[in-house]
Amino acid sequence: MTLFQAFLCGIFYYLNAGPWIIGAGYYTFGKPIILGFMVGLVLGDPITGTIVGATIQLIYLGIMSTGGSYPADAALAGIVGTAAAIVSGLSATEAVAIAVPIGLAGTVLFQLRMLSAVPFTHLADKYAKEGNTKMIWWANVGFPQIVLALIYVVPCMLACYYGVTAISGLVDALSNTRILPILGTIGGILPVIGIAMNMKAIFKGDARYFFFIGFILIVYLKLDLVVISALALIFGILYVQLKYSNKGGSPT
Amino acid sequence: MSEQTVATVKRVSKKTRIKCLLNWLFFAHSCYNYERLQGTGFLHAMTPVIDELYDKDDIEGRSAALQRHTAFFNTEVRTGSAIVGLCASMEERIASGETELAEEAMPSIKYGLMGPLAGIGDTFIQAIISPLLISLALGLAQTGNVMGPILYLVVFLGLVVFLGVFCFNFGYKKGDEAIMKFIESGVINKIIEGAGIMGCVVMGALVAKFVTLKTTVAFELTTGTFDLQANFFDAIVPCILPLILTLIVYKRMDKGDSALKMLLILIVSGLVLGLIGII
Repeated sequence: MTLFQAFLCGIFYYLNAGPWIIGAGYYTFGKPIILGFMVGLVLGDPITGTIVGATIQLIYLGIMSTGGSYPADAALAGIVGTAAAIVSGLSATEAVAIAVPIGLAGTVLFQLRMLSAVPFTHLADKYAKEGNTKMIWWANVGFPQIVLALIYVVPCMLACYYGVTAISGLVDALSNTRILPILGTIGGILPVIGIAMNMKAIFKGDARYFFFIGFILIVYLKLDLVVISALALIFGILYVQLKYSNKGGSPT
Repeated sequence: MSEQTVATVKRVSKKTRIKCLLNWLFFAHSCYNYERLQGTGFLHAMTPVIDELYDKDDIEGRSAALQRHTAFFNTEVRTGSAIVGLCASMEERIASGETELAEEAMPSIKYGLMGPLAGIGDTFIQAIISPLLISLALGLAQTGNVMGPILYLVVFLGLVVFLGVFCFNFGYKKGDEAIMKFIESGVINKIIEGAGIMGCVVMGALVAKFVTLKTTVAFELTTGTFDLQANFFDAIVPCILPLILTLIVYKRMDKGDSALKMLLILIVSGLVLGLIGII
């Protein structure tokens, strides 16, 4: 990986935290499924990147960041995990096991970001008092984004440039041991976390039965995920319509 | 709001309202910090409105108006656009003479609505829409189809803009009572309930499709090899181990165990079971 490629990875990481993707950086450049594709593009293998990114994405599927909390950094995990897989030829599930600790380390940067913007909020107060609307842009966007770019681009760039090489060396050293296959096995289990996290939010009441319908549709009918989603949409609409159709009747 | 005052309210131009909404959608989290969260983002969003309502020389008026919006604020950005729209219309009324609104009505509405709208928005976007769209994209992406991530990006961003515009206009035109009425009408709950069903179907499918857990245990019997996975588990229900594991992890997390704790447990048990050759 060249320094320039690592720099681009750093930019993607910054886009996840910065405002430029219609304020939805967290939902786009914060998601390994997008990052895997982007990092793959930069490293010349978007297809592998997409596959690895999608696999890493599963662990972070149900992650919720509310009220300033940030349980894990899916973006850094997605970027470094994908880069490591492409550079050192890891399988997607092996890359998952490597991505997890990176995702935990990234939360420190989020805390740093939340602290670093405090002075600019006070600067904005000052401009508000002066009635200076022009400078409020600088207090809310200009200054904090310069700092944010530094906080996010540099560590990710270094992690990609040096970290991926280190991982690559480690993978070479482990190539004939049982460790890599075991990492792959662990990577195969970890999507459970992402799914269970999402279930925590939606696995309630009657909806629980539908979870098993989805399982059956794939195990026994071997339907495609897109077909299952279409059926799922119909189930959802029908359920709500039937449940609330008897006017005046209280829903159970 | 009485009928007479409506007629005399200063209105900001459509261009200003668009600027206000874009400032909010783009930069609500730009100065996100532990002290005020989106507070400064909210202030920034209101600047185009205040610029138009008050003369350049009216420093006092501008200063007072801006300082109404410096405090702590936090909500879901897209659904919270309703509050930004509502505050824009309230600023118009304040600038038109209804100064009493600034004292109590403005802060109480702002802080009264941010909680409910965050609850709805976070559930809808973080727990339902984003995982659902990602699950769909995963089906494509896992086979290396780059349309997976691209479609997700386009559809999600389209939804962000649509929701932002819809909520902003709702707040700007209909006011706080209409927002509360809409929240309490049950429409949103029905959507969330239906989408939750959809989400559950897809999660069940994801378990079977993407979680891999197989045992390698086999016994040598006189009649031949008894492979625990092929001859037992697969014979009962294929993918039963991933299903059981998912339900256990869900149960633990529902009882309050953190995702981090479960993650560590899974990694350690995977390592141990892998080393002794069970999985």
